[in-house]
Amino acid sequence: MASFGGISNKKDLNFELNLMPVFDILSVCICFLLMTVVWVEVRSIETSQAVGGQSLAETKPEKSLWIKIDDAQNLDLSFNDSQQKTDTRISIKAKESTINWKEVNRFIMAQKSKVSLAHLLPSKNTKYDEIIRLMDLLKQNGFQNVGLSPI
Amino acid sequence: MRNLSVLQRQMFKSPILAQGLIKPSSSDQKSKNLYFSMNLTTLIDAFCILVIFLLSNMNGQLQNVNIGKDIKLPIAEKTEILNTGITLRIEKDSLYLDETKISMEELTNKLIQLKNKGPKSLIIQADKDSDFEQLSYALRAGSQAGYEKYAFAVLPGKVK
Repeated sequence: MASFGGISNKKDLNFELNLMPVFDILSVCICFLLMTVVWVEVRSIETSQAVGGQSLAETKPEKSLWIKIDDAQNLDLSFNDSQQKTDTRISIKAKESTINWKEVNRFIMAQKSKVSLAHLLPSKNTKYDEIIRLMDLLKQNGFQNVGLSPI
Repeated sequence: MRNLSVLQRQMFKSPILAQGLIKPSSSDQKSKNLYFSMNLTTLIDAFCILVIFLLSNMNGQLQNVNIGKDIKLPIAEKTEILNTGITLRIEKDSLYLDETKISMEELTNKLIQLKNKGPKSLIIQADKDSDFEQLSYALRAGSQAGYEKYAFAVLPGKVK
């Protein structure tokens, strides 16, 4: 018969596991994880910038969407080909002195998986929050490359 | 002492038990054992759950960014993990490059110096209500210094 505690002449089937080292390892692990944990998670929206010269002949012809935001928060959207020729031009007027997000959303959703390149040309008083929102909206709708032009 | 388990051998060495042996209680009173064995299994279970929770909460963020007191980052849904890079914080009327305050004039030179050391990505932190005019200086300085990637720091979430 197996006895608890190990005081037996017969070979014990029950044995006591010393849990203290396990306890120590787990304590160290918890301390380390608590110290390295990031409480406020910051993520990013990335844009790439072409550095260096690439000739026009080497550039892959790709249709792109150009979004210009003016001082009155009106949006001017146009599709350009690689030779910078404008195909279509659409204007979305501001609503209550902010960008008409409903219309912008509808327009960008309609372009889903048709174009993958977009350029933003904000005006000097465009809020950073609005630029990020527009970039986010474009990325959500399949625009893989979103560029931002400085003033 | 033969055939004793690990815990029982520790029991003999325990100071609490030793005190109990030195000062044995009188025969009239019922003897009280000062030694008690603590069941560690439940505690280890709790610790394991805690470790699993903390490990699953690790988001793989490669760079820990200090957000300025006066900065409210914009919110975005389609975000990426923040990779390593040089952090440029734009506050109301000051610029901080890797936590060092710098002026507008020396921004390009400092960015060139830092770029030669390694990272090719520029992490930009700015308040959500700041104008693009402020941001434009940073973008222009970055392009002059030859940065290929800009990462705009955002908080993950759903935009209302």
